[in-house]
Amino acid sequence: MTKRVAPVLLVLYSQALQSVVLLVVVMAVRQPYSGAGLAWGTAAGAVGAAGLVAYYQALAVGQTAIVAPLASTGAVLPLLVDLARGERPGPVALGGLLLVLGGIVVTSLASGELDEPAPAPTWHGPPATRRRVAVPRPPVPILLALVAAVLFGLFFVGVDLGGEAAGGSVLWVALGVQLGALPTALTGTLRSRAGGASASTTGPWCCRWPP
Amino acid sequence: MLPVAALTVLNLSADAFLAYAVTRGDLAVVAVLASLAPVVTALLAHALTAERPSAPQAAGAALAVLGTLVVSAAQAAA
Repeated sequence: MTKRVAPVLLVLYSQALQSVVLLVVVMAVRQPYSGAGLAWGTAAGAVGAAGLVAYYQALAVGQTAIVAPLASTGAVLPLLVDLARGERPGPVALGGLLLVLGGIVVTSLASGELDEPAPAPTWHGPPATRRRVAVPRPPVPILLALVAAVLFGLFFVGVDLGGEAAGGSVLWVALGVQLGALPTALTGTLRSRAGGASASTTGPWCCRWPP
Repeated sequence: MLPVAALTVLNLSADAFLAYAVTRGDLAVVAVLASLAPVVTALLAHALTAERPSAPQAAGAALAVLGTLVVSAAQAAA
């Protein structure tokens, strides 16, 4: 089933179809037009789609069970924005933030590729080079998942601001999100057409959007 | 075109369910449940693929999800 349609085409078609469906819904429900809501939604959609590209790549090169949880940590980004604005979140929220950071560090260390593999110990005791410290660097899937997390977090911030600006007309924000994601899906399709079978066509064919 | 239809239906239904839950339900409960999505993804990956993360990797990922869950609950309750 996954071989019949290129993943990027699948995303593009699905994206276009969702835009059309949402447009019909917006017209049918007759929410008052909100330009600011539509604009924030479009910006959020563009950022979120970029995050989705990073997420796809992370899933394509890494383990789904590791990538998906890390990418979902973007939900805490609005809390970081609050902190940066000088707001004081409660102790529970801060504790959760520490858990998230700890989880990211543990996962990164557990997945770290050592630049220099440590020499194996022998029966005659540990090797003389034992104290040479190999420098671990976070593997590509982890980094891509974290980039996706940040972009998804910015997506949430954008949708939040859009919702505030739109008042009750949240469907216009939702329509903006779909429209903002369209150019990225289109670009991905054109690039994969131009470059033949690129890495993006080997990625997973479905995932949740918006994140 | 079946995957396109399936993907569209799944995405839009997820959005609709989430929107309905947020407007009608207790936001703290909804936020926590929504942040459990990657757990479903990980379980599906375990069931459908041969990928097996190491114990430290799984522990780190679980910690990240738990933290996200705590933050979501705290933010929604605030």
